[in-house]
Amino acid sequence: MKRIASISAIFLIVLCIIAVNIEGARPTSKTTPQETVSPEALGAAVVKTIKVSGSGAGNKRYPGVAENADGDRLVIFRGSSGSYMYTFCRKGGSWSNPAVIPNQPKMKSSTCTDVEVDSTGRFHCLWEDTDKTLFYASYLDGKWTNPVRMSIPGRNDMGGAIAVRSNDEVVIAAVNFVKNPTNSKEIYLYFKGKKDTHFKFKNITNDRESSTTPSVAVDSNDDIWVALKSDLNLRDMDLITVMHHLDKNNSILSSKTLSVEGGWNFWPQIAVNSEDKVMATWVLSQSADYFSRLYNPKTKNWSSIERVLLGAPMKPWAAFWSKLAAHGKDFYLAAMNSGRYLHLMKYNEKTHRWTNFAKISDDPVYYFDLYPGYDQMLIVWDNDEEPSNIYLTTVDVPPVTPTTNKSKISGTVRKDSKGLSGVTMTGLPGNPATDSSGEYSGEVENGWGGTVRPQKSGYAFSPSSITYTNVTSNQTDQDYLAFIAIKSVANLQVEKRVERGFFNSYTLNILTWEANPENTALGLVISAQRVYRKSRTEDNSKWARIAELAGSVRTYEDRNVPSDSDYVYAVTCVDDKGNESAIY
Amino acid sequence: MNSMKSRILLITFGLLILGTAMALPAAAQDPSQDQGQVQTEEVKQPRFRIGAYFEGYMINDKNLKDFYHHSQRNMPGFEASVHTVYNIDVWASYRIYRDEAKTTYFEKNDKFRISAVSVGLQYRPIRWKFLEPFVGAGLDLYSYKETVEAGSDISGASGNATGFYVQVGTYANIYKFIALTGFYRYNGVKKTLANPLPDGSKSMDLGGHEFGGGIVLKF
Repeated sequence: MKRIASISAIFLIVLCIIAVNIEGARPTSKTTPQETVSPEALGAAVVKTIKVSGSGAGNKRYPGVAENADGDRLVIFRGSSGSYMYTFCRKGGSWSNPAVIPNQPKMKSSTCTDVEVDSTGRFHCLWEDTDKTLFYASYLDGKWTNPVRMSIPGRNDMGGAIAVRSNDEVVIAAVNFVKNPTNSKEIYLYFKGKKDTHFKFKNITNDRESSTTPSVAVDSNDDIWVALKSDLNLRDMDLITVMHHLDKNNSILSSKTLSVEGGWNFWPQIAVNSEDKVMATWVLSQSADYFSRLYNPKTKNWSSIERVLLGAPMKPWAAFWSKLAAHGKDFYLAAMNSGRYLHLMKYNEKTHRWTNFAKISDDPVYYFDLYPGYDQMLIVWDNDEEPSNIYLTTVDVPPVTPTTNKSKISGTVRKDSKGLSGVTMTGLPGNPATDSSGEYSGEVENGWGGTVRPQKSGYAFSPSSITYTNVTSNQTDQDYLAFIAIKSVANLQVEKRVERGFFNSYTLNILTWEANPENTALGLVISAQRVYRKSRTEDNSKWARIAELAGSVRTYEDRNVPSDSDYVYAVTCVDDKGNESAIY
Repeated sequence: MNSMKSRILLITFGLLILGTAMALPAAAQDPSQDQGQVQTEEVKQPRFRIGAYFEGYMINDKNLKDFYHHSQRNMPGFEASVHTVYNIDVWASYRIYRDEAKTTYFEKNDKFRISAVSVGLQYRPIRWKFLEPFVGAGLDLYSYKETVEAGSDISGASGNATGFYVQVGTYANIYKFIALTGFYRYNGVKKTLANPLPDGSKSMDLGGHEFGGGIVLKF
């Protein structure tokens, strides 16, 4: 009997051990132990989830989300028909019924989404159809631009990522698959300025296996940071995560291999915080471990590799998607564990550890996107099981307090549609000048006010100046048009005289002037001069042209004027291209 | 303008014809008839006098003097007379007053001309052998015109003016058919204008003092 009891006890113990092991190997959403859960963080986080994909049937996948400075939010996702759809929510309002993004080419279903916002509140959206073609469109005030197929040498593979520079230039990093002659997959950067109609592109790699979606971020200097997967100089099946740092002229400043362990270092993410610290993350697929490194621009050093512990046993090759975002000084990482449960992790720079900040859903997740809102982290996701829908989970975070009390004023000075270099922007601190592209940028203290006036010898500008009051945000597209500044004549003199015979007489005003030496110095050909007249008490809209003279004339007689007239005069110059100087 | 000139000439010739008509009955009398000393003397007088002279005209108008910068212009003149009765002649004279200046700014030539016709009666109260002093009075009929050279926007002007004259003088008989003459004449000719003159006034005084001398054919 004792033996039976002992055997039974041993059997029960074995059963319990098996049961515990089985439970641990098959994580469930509600009871998954969180190995690195910070009770304070989880307790403080306010998490809310709503469904945003409407009530239609079918599977909705691959969502992306962003919020602009006004607090408006846009979610895009692949609809059940394969076309991309969107739903929009004004701050404090309700979500619109999902609708198809208009004028899309016929899609073969779509994947991999990213959304970013520029300073004007415009949403820039990127998605890829399963024919491995990237499409781009933007949305503002209820209007979509026509989706455009990216002009690429080959075709894209596994999507891309978007970032926006301070001058609202869109930067897209994407994998470009070139079949011939090397079957290589290269990382390309695509650039589209605010006024550009097409993307320019640049290849930043020279290997053959940059084959997963890269990640791109922009720092406060408008430098670009790209994280990508590479197999350069490694054995087959050994992939590394590499970072490229490009300056604002898109030249590569530095490159660095971030991962050091062999294996499939996959799905790189990169983000820049308000202090220009750069965080990169990736997943090592065969161990299902996430890793991160932090770059400090002051020390110019990368931290050692840090492991991100999501909790629950991770199954090799069963987790890879993650999304990284910076919110103020903080970094957040949304990542799935092997059970496809989504966690929002927060980085603690003091401890160099990632803590579990919030549990996003009770259901397994298939795909997701993460975006830093003003006082919430936004996570859109689709559930793993079918039928799938799109959900938005918000996690309250402290509002971003500006770490800088400065704003940028930037724009372009153009002449005949081309940038004009060497224009000094007087009034801006430091009097910056335009570069070879005609672009300028100046930094002012928040609350600054003043008048910015472009100046370059021989040129005039429209507008001649822009006056600012209480600048508290970046002022982009502060553009000017330049034109050759033909000056009016110099030293204009008016003398009133009387021409008298014996019986009759009349009054005439004798105008004399000199050629303007500035026109002469510029080599301008003055083909005509125009004489204008108005009464002294009339406003400037009353100038009336009374004569057009040859360019070499230096005097004019305005005859038969009333003897008590109070006329004032202006003599403008017209060059051989028809440009006329200002009257006053 | 032309009609005015014609009218002046018509009046002048009318007066001359009238004088001639008045003189003809006397000329028709037979000199052989004994009609007394006076009648004989009347018959011996020449009927006609035609003379040319050179004179100075001191114009009254201040504006003209200021604008044209001359207070006196010298000029030729012509006269003709017909003896009527009692040493009274119908007398007429024609002279041309000219002056020229520049416009004030463009300095274009500005010419001014007065065509002066005087018609009246002349009385020679004493007829000495050598001297025949006379007095006279009558009408002045003036035509004036300003012409401005092209290049200025000023237009010229013209017009007519009437007035009177009084004169004194004498003939000095040096041959049977030739006499010298000297005279002083005062003209009173004013005109009111529509537009002001340089000094702002609208009254123009074309009259003035004339004095001169010449030669006269008598027959």
